[in-house]
Amino acid sequence: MSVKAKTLLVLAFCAICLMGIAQAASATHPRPKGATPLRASVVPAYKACATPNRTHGAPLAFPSCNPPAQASDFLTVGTPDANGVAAANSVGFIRLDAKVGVPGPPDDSDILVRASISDVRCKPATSASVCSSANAADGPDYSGELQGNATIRVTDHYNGPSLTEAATVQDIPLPVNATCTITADTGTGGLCTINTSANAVALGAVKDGERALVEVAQIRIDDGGADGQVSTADNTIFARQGIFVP
Amino acid sequence: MTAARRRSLPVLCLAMGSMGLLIVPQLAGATHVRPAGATPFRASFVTAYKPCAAPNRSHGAPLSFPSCGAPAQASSFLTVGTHDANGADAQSIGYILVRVKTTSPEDVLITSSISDVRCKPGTNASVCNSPNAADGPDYSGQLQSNATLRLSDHYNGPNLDEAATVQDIPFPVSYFCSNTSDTSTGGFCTINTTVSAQIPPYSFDGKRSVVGLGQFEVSDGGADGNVGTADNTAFLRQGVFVP
Repeated sequence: MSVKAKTLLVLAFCAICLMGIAQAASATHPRPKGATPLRASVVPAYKACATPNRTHGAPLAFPSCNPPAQASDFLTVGTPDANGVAAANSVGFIRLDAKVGVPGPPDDSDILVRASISDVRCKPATSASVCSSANAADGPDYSGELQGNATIRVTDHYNGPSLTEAATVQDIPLPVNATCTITADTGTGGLCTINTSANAVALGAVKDGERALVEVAQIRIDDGGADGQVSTADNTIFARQGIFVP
Repeated sequence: MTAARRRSLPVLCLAMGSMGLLIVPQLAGATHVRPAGATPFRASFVTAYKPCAAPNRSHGAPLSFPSCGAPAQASSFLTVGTHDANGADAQSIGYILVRVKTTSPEDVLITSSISDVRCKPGTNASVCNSPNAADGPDYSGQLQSNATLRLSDHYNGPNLDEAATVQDIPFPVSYFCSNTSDTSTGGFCTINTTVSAQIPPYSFDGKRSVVGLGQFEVSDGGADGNVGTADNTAFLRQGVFVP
């Protein structure tokens, strides 16, 4: 066998090995056929009960803390027997939808993010600059920012030097900002909405055909702190995924 | 003080005491803000992976974070069909739907299903007895959904009329899985229940229950397929999948 033939044989063997490795790298990623949407209703967030002073009624006879302590220091929602408004009006949700793109450029796969939460009211500690629309009872409308947050764990095929390898990414936060506006109705607080996508938040985050499996931890909504801005450090948890049984 | 005034004093004290008692429960229940409504909650499920503790790769931009190849499934006992991973077509779809029933008796309705659930080699043959054309056999053991609850309501204290937040509690719900006759898809797991059925005789009526929900996770039944034993591992978690 000539030197040239030997060289070609070695190169061919290496190419086959590399193909095998690449295939093996992407061959360890079981995934569903589909998983969408994730639609989370949200409820006011309460602090954890650390020092119980009551007991809940049976059969859920667990230690409890009276009074309940809202996790947010800056925002609340109208509730007749808590803050004197005529009726509880707040309704909120956050929804994630997988958008399946057409294979090939441009990358049009995405994760759509929509959220809305109504009757958002300021507590006394919040800056007057974002609390300027008074209501008939309880706090004024909130016109600052909110931020949806969830830790995500992404497993996909867009890793390694050639961006073709399957891997699980270290857990990362996924913050999405909402803007709030005042309402003309003095019986309800501000309205906060989000209508965006993962690629709008981080261009190119979701690509066609990468088999992106996204585990989503508990979804919560943070307030904007005293100044109503989510970029400053004093934000607290306003709402989290949950349900309400009246 | 006249005799008439002395006679009226106990009555006055009783009246003031009664008013005080009326005010105390009102104050106790006056610190519990709540929404007009919060329902439904629907989570789709994705395959659960172990966290990346010792990165050996990096994800492509813009999510240029450290990553771990190859991905490691969190479940040691179950999987789902995926053509380039195990030769079976991707068929699995799973979700949980939690809805509030607002008419008396108020309740929380829980519906969930997960398809194409397959055994890995470590799972007991007694719950893996329906082979498929490719990859593992159907799973016919148990699954268990779990989410931590943080409950704030008006059903606390000696008179069961005080508002309070309960310490976080787990809320496990078990599924039963069955074989399918189709040799291209795995087992089918389902649950259709209510909270009052899970913890009888609980009634939600008028308690203004604000229920914060943690992340939903579905555990397998361990090697024996029984969620009552201790070796269960995470199989699925709430999430989304972009193909």
